[in-house]
Order: sequence, then structure tokens, then C-alpha cells
Amino acid sequence: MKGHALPFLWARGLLAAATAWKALLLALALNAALALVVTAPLASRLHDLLDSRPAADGLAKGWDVVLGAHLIRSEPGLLGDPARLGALERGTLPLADVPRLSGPLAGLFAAGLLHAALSALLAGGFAGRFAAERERGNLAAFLADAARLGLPSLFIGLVGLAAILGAFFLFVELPRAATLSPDLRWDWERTGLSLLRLLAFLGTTGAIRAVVAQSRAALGLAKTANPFLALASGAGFVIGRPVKALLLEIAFGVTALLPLSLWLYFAPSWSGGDVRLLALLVAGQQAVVLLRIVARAAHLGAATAWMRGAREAARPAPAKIEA
Amino acid sequence: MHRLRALLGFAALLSPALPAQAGPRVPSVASYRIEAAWDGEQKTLSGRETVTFVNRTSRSLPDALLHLYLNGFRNTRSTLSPGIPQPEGSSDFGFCELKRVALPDGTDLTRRISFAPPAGGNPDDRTLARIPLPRPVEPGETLVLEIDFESHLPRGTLRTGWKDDFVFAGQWYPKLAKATDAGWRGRPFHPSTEFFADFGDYDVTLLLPGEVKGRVAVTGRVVAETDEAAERVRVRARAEDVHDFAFAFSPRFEVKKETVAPKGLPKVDVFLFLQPDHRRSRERYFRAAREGLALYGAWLTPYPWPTLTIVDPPAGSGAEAMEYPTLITGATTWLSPSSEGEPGGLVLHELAHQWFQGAVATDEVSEAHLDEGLTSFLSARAAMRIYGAPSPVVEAFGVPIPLRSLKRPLPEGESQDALDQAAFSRSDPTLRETWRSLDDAAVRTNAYSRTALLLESVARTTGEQPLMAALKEYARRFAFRHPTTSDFLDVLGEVAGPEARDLVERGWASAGAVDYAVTSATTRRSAPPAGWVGDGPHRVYRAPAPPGPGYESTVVVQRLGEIAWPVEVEMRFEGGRKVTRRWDGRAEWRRWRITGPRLLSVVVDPRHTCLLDVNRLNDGLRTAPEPTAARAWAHRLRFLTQNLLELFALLAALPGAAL
Repeated sequence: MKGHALPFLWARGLLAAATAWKALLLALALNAALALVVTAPLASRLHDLLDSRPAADGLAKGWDVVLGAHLIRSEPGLLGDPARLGALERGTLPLADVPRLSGPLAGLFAAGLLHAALSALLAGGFAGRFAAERERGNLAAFLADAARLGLPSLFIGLVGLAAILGAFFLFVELPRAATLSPDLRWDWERTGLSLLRLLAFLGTTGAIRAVVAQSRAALGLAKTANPFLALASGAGFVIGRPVKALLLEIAFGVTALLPLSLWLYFAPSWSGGDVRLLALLVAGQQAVVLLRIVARAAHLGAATAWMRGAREAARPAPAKIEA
Repeated sequence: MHRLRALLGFAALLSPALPAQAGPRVPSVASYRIEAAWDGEQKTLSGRETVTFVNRTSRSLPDALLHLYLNGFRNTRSTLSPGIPQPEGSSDFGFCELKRVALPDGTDLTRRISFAPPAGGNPDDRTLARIPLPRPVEPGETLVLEIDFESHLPRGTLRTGWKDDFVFAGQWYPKLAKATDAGWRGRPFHPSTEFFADFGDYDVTLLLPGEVKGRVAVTGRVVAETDEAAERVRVRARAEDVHDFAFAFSPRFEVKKETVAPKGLPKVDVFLFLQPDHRRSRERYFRAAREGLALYGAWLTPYPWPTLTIVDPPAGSGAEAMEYPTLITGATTWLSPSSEGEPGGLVLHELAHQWFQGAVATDEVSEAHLDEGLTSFLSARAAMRIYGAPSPVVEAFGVPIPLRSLKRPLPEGESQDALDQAAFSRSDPTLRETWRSLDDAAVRTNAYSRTALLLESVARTTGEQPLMAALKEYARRFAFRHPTTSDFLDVLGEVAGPEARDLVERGWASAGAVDYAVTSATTRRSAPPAGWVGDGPHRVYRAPAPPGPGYESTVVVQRLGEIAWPVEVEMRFEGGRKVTRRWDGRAEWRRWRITGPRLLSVVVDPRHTCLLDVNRLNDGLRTAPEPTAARAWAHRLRFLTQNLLELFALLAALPGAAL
């Protein structure tokens, strides 16, 4: 197998991520802490509402549609503005209304933005470490790289976000009415066109994210922290190898989502009683989130290895040294 | 008295379901002979109808009142217009025009036509036409009107119209309003509720494109199809003892027939007109029809006609989920999951309409609860029996995804309206005429969900068998008649008892809510009495003593809603002891004091008999907190949030987790 073959790159990415395990744990801690902060007021309110109510037994095992409706109706602001929540559920919330969410949803949105920004900064650290020859697991060096490359990495992330939002508007929002039109004769036409919209969006997003990954890899490998040069380098790299870049993106996407899917499908739900089971489930959940973060970092590791290898391959061979 | 009522109920349940007819059918009042030709280019039906009306009221009628339902689609000023999606072009509009109205002797009445909105109604509405007659139609006399008309069908958005080569013609011909002892009863075409008409016979001949030969669904039965010139086909249909006539055709229909013969009930020919891309739903349609005919036949009366036609319309045709005598429409999609009981649940609902409004022909405009409510109650029962509680289905990019871990028990989880009935039904009592209600949500909720929940609550409170026996008797007694709410309540009181009648009447007459809450539950160790005890020479002083081993518990249950409902209050004590008290629920509150073991919890209505209770969460109280449910949900929400945060990282175009 060639050094740049997809499985090889995938494995190299995971190995690179494993060497930065301290940084990965730091990312997990950030994620968990933010989640705790966001959900703490909601959890407290739930205790106020449910602890003294025998009807809550029906909610312990899982969601009860009827009881849940009664809960939301009696506490309309529990999750935030019900009208906007309903629109969000139906996928009809205008983008402009998202910042005006209230209650825990507003907290989630703010925390999400913060998490995205922090992740982008940390990606700078990962890019620096994966490009380094040694001390990949050194947390101090990781933080130094994050400080040095964090802002350019954030800028690259913002460019990517803008591109993804553009793709969303272009492929999902703009043709929505046309693909859901009641004038379409057959059901499969509507389904097919809707899936085509989704596929076009996912394909474009995948390409954008591949560019972002390669740009960050270029940022780490470059001597200067110039995000424009890195973006140009990343875009050029992906344009030269679009299929493989997309496949790499898909491979790490599957790597990230597989543990979550397996967990959601197979993991038991805690509905009281055994505290040891709760501890075990919490540990399992953290492992799932960690694997998602690992997949994220590993993608960058693979991108760095791939770009470095490609550059080395392109360099002219050294002249033979005569004895 | 109770025993007599029980006997009556039992007798009604056992009453033989053998006769092919549900009851004595009234002689024809309004019969129609119609000949119409379809112009596929113009989307018009041009035709002539002969209406034969026999005045069986006690009143002389000086005029005739005609519904021109399609004029609801005439322009954006019609009464129907707010209920129609925003029109985009001329094809979204329709009309019904009277070209000529005459008596058999040639007297032309066309110039006399005036449009007659009820007093205070919408003057721009043209869905009711009044035609003064040269002389009144006296009781027992017959009026024959010959009418030339042109009906332009709109693109299907609401119950009637076309989509591509699929045509569903409902409310398409000039139709007499209902004659009553108080005169004609006709209302403009409203968005929510529509129909009220006299029974009669229909003889309809349609000239249609030749390609739809054998693919025409009708009220009643197609009796002849003959080829005509210019690649057209003449289709003749007949229907007896019906109060409306609808038809549908499409060259793409796949037509299937099955003869259903439920045990002990007459045979029914079921015709299914299926979209080719809905083949997967074929057996689901037939199963619903088979089981529905058997169940309703047993619960009510035998299905009263020899045919049942199910039209499966294409998605987006606007013809979904409608009921006409002997003809109903379903709704499904090519990927509709089989496990969730669709389109069976919908078919069961529309099929139940064959009894309630089809045969027991109530005034839907004024008393929609008598057909939609009874139908929702029955179809929820039937669906639960046949399919069990369905799961909610979400649709993402055209792909329906059933959420199998969730269940929607019926009728309380039937729809968002049912779940939110507490909010939507506050504006209007159910008995208010639907067109006077605040909005469509209030109408839907009151007519459908609230009535279904009310009847199910009555079944659980006063007994299922008496209520079902009352429904059976009501369906039998009023088949092919036009009962009112008071007729229904009379039968209910007679068969199911005064309590059942009283509860239904309360639920319908009030816009209020049912809400019982346990507002206080305390328990403490009981101490012996302290202070002066006894009288005269026996009076002694007892010093305060430490509490003993027993407990003194106090429970307060309050009625927070306007509607009173009899409830049970269940108190659970340490050691497994359980005490249940019954309360008629009429007072504003009730307090119980109990001594004994330590009180653990109190629940009002523990068996969930009253589904109208708007807040089940406050139905109980513990004396000590139990954090399991909140802890479990906090734990789930944290994990969900962690993954959502990762999703945000994905949106910010960070590497990994793209798919």
C-alpha cells in the first residue's frame, strides 16, 4: 500500500491524534464544561418541576409524548420561546431569528459559537503539533502553537463557515419551494429532488471542509502564519486531488459518527436506580464525544501527513554524494 | 333504574346486526339527474341537472336556495378564501355559474337569481343563490328545477379540483340547501365545515376522456360505460339514499376491487382507486376497510350501502382525507412507513364518516362535533385496536422517519390539536356554530379532538359499554335522518345514563378546561393531644409529649379548571398501603386528613380517566422529593448538548465529522 493511500492516511491521522492525547482531553474537558454550564439551569428547573410530581415517573424511562406536551405547555419557557422552538423543529426558523432565541436555546446557541471558536483556536494548536517533527504530545507546545496559529485558523474557519452557509442557502433554501412543489406528479420526484438538494449541500460542504483541513495543514507546515497563503495552498491542494480529499473527509466523518450511532442504537438509557450504571453511562458518553473529537483532530493529522508527503515527493531528489 | 339502563345498553349492544339497511330510510327529498361533460383544457364541467325536490317539511317554501360551493374559489373575497393557500394564478380559482334555471313548463327563473349571504354575512360571497318561485312549494308538493350550469374546477388545494390528469370533483354542481321546518337552511361555504343536505337519489352521466374508462370513482356505483366519438367515454353512475355526489378520475388510477363480508354483516364491494406509486399501500387500504367495516358494523349498524369507494389521491392534490357518501379519500406517500398505521388510521376516520354524516346526516356547519367528534372518537378506538399506538413520523428531505421509541396513544396523542386542546378550545365552547368560532384552530380542536377526548373520558368514567351502546342506538335510531345535539344527548342519557349525558353536555357547553391538581400533601408524626382535655371534673392537663409512631397526613386537591369531573384520589402510604377516595369534583377544593402510616404520594385521577385534564403534571404530589426523572433528563440533555456543541464545531468548518 502506498504511503498516501486512503487507509494509510486514515491510520496516520489517528496515530497523530493519539500522540496529542493531552490536547484531546483538554478539548473534551472544554466541551463537557460548556455543556454543563448550558444545561445546569435547565437541570435545576427540571428538578423543581419534577421531583415532587409522581407523574414524572412516566418521564424517567424516556420521552412520553402526552406528558411531555403537558410539561412544555405548563412551562412554556422551559426550552425557550415555544414559537421559535416549533419553527426550529419544523426547519422553518429564519436564519435571522436564530440569535433571538431565548432561554436554554439561546444559551446553547451562544455556547455553540464559543465552542466553535475555541475548537478553531485549538485546531491551530493541532496543526502546529502535527507539522512538528517531535514533541507532538507536549501540551505546552500545543498551547504555544494554538496561540501562534489560533487566529489564522479561526479566520480559515470563518471563511469556511461563510462558504457553508452560502452552500446551504444555494442548495437547501433556494430550491426548497421548487423541490417540494405540489405540482410534481410523483412522490419519488419530490423525494429525489429533496435528496439531491441534500447531496449537493453535503458534497459542497465536504469539499469546503476538505479545503479548510488542508489549509490548516498548510498553516502548520508553513513558516509564516499567513491564513491567505494557507487558504490558497489548501484550495490548490484539494483542487488537484478532489476525489481523494472528499473521500478522506467522508472517512473521518464516518469515523466520528459511527461511535455515536452505535451508542444511540445500543446503549441503555438510565432511568434511575443503579448509580454505578449511571457512572458507566457517563463514562461511555464521554468516550463517544472524545472519539468525535479524535476524528476531528485525526482528519487534520492525515491532511498534514498527506500534504507533507506530497511536498516531499515534489522536491527534486538530492544529487548523489560521491565518496 | 341502573339495572334497567344496563339491560337497555346490553340489549342495544346485542341487537342483531343482520339487516342490510341500518334503519328505515326516509323517502327521497332531493334527487338529482345530472348530465355533465368535462373539458380537460378549460377544467370545466358543463352540464344540466334536473332537481326533484319534495317538500316534506311543514312549511311552505316561497323560493329555492342553492349552494354554489365552487364559488368559494371564485375570488379572494369569498368566505372560503382565508382557508385556501395563497393563490398563485388563474388556475387556483374556480366558480359555478348558473346559466339557466327553469321550471319544467318552461318558466325561466334565471333573472330572479340573487346571491343571498345570511344577514351580516359576507356580501361578496356567492356560494348561496336564492331563486324566488312563481308560487310557493306547499308541504307535500314537488318542485322540479332544470338547471344549466358551468363549473370551473380550481387547481386542487382544498377538497376539490385537479392536479395534472387527476380530477377530484366534490361540491361541483348546484345543490339545494337543506329544507327544514324553519325554512331553507344553507350557509356560505366555510373553510372548516361544509355540508348539510337532504337525502335523495342521484343519476349522473358524465362525458369524460376515453383514457379514463374503467378509472372513474363515484358515489354509489358506475352502472354503464360506453365509448363515444372523439375518444370520449360516457359514464353513468347511480346512488341511492345519499345526500351528495362526488367523483374522481385519472388515467393513471390502478383500480382494485375486493368484496368484504364481515361476519354477520352484509357484503360490501370495496373499490380502491390507487396511484401507481402508492402500490405498497394497497393492502393497507384494504385492511383498514375490511377491519373498519367489521368494527363499525359491530359497534354501530351494518354499513348501509352496497359499495365503498376509496380514492387514493396524488400528494399535493388537495383532495386528501375527505368523505362523501360511499366515497372517501385517503392520503399516503410512496415511502410511508407501514408500521405507523397509515393510511389505515385516516381510512378508519373517513370510513366512520359513512355513519356519522353519511347516514346520520347532521348539520356539519353548525354542529361539526356530531360528525367529526364522534368519528374521531370511533376511529381512534378502531386504530388502537387494529394498529396500537402509532409513533410520530418526521420527514427529512422527503424521507419519512418514524421515531419508533416514541408512541402517540390515541386519542390524546392523535395530533398536535389533541395535545394542545387545552389551549385552543378556550376561545369557544364546542356547541358554538363553527363559523362563529375564533379561528380554524378552535374549530378543529373543538370539533375533532376535544369531542373525541370528551367521549373517551366519559367511556373511562361511566363505563365503556353503556357509551358504546348509546352510540349504537343513536346510529340506529337516526340513520337517514338529521338529528341534532339534543337528540344525541337524549339517547346518551337514555342508554348510558344521566351522568354520561351530564358530562358530555358539560364538556360541550363550556369553553373551560378540566384541571385537577394536588396542591398540598403533608405528613408528620402525630403527637397525642396537649393542653386541657375533657370537661368538668374530668378536665385534665396533658403536657406536650413527643410524637408517637403514627403519622398524620393532610391532602388538598383543587379544581383549577372550570369544568367539574368526577375523580378518584389515590393516596399511597409507607408499607404499601393504598387508600382511594372518590370525589364528584364539583367543589373548588377538597381536603382529606388521614392518620396511619407515613404518606408517600397523592395522585388525583390515577387511572387517567379524564383525558381533558390540561395538566397531568400537577395531578400528583410526593411528600419527599424523588429526583430520578429530572436527573435522568439532565443526564440525557448534557449528552445531547455535548453532541450539539460538536455540531457547532462542524458548522464552523472544523475538520472531521462531516457526515
